[in-house]
Amino acid sequence: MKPNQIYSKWFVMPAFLLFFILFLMPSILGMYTSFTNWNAMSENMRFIGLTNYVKIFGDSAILRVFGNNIYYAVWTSLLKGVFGLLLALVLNRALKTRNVLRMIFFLPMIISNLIVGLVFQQIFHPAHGILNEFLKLIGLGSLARGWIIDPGLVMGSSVAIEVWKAAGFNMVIFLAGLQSVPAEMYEACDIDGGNAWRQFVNVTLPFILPSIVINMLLNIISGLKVFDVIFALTNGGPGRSSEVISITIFNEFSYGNYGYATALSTLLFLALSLISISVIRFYMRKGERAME
Amino acid sequence: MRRLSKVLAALLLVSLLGASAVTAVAETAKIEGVTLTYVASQNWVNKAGNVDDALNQKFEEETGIKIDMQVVPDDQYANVLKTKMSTGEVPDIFMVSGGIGAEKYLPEKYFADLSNESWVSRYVDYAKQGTTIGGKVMGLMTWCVDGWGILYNPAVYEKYGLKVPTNFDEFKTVCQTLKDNGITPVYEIGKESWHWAVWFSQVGPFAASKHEDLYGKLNRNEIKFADVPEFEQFLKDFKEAYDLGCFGQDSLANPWDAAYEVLGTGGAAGFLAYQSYQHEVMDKYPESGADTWQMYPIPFAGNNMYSHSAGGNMRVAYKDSPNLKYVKMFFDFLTRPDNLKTFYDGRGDLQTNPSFVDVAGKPTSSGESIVKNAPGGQGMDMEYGVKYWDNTQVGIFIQEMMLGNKTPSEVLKAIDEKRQEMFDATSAS
Repeated sequence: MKPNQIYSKWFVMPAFLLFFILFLMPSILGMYTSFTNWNAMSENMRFIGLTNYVKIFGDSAILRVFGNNIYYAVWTSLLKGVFGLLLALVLNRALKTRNVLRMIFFLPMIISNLIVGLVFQQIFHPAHGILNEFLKLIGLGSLARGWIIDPGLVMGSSVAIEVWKAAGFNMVIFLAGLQSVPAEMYEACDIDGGNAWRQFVNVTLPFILPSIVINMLLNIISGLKVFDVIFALTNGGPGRSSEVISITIFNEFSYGNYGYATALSTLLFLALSLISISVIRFYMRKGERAME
Repeated sequence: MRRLSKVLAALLLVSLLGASAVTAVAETAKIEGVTLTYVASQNWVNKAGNVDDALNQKFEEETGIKIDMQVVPDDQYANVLKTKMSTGEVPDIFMVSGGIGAEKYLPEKYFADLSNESWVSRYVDYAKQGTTIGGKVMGLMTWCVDGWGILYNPAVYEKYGLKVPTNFDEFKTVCQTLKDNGITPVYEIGKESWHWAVWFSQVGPFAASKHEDLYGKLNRNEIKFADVPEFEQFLKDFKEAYDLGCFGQDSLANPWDAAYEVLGTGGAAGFLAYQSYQHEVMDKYPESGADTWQMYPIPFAGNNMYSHSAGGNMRVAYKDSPNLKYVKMFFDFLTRPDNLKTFYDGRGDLQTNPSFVDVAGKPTSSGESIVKNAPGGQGMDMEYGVKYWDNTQVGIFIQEMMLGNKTPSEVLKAIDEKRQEMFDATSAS
């Protein structure tokens, strides 16, 4: 019997209603304001069609901001996934200290993003930050840089902070996935002459595919809607070199340009929805085929 | 007859006792069940103490009316207050900036007219001007007019034989001498985009002295920033100063909080600050001698004027509040001379030029010196006088200029384009 024949589809209604009333409906209503001149200085809200969207796509500065978001989302997703998987593989072994190590690597996740941004602001300070001081101490002063003031490095620094913070979360998801790999599969691969790499590719990867999908989905979503870490670290600066869409939306709302800001947030919402729905549908189709 | 006298005396005694009992009850009768909501930005209340809480508590003890003060982080204040207004949760009392900054809170719709309150006649001139909107007094201001300038350490200047620069060339000479001796000439908190904008905002009065009704024309969109040569020259001088290292190495990484330590420990000889800032440095670093520091106007583009605010922040009463009469009682309480004295005694940063005639000012040495160092006179800076000026947006453009991504004229063009968005959004057609 298939799972969807055991439980009626109506079981989803309570959760869906709550989600619809508290999130979906306000978002849809909010989208209407993106087609208006809604602003802080006047009460004359009027329909202006696609004017806000035309402005967005005609502004090269905003397109660069989109580029920052994509850069951040792609690199944080890849690096968090890779480091998270490596940590999970190592800490899935029978080590005496593995529980302590798992806790240590997960700990950064419980620190507030704002605190992380403020702390790293000091660590990355070019003149008296710990990182540059340490590099000078070990004779690598030539590697000292303006990590958060050089426009060419600031996004990379932001990516590094996110990877440090959230690789542990990816590790936890992968560890859960690794528990589903039957030990006898490794034995069988070993008997067939498979080395560690073949075991990883032919045994481990297929079984942890759902974990990979979940991690990538969550990583992409959190990368695209990043705000607090970068806000605390650089406020989108210097200039706009580390500005991401959420900071632009925040600044536009602060300026009082509500209609324009809502247009930006609508675009972000649509992008996130598209990605999430695509990944979930892909995963569900794979799951249904596996059941058949 | 004697019996009648006794009865009359007894009656008189009883009535006297009754009257005093009624009076006693009336004196202790307090207003029950009324709470006034009071929303303020975090750094506007209880700064370096708890004088606002103390006065709220005193008012509650005197009248029984509770004050529910809700403090919002500075960066979010405007958004939170606007959201409350949009959703019908307008506080009974809220704080806004004086001058043009109040306009975004739709004064005609939300602010009560306080013109006839008894304390209005005791305002000093700048306070009456700063709280008057559309010809009506709409705020209770217990603040002080302040302005920004280059706060400097005279002892350091004297040590190296330096005088207060009166033009850009002299400023460059001062900076070079200080740099040669390992001292940051003017420490800049470059991470804070708004601070770059504050520099530029100070040239407003000087430019206005060269162009009649400049602010009015800017506000009616009859003139652009790009049309004013003084603005472009200021930005050119500003960029040159940055390239010469006048603001220290790596200034773009410096946050606001770092300035206290750098100045307090003698790491820099100057800082763009407001007049009461030196008290804040003294509070944290008593050995710094910051109370003797002085101030001069930014000497870029020929500027020689003292540029000031619209008087600071004010409390506003929500005009449709069901508790409006109690709000006015609270305002009467706050403006009593004894309570005004308590407030200003508790706010060392506001003592230089109080808003009421009852309170004597205690000018700081920077406040006195900047007026002396400004032979061109004084005027309101652009942050408080020009519509659709946003420190964050303007500051970002200036940061891009410092990085070499924009020229001064491109900065002015960007400011004009940003303001035009709001002119377009607020146009009736």
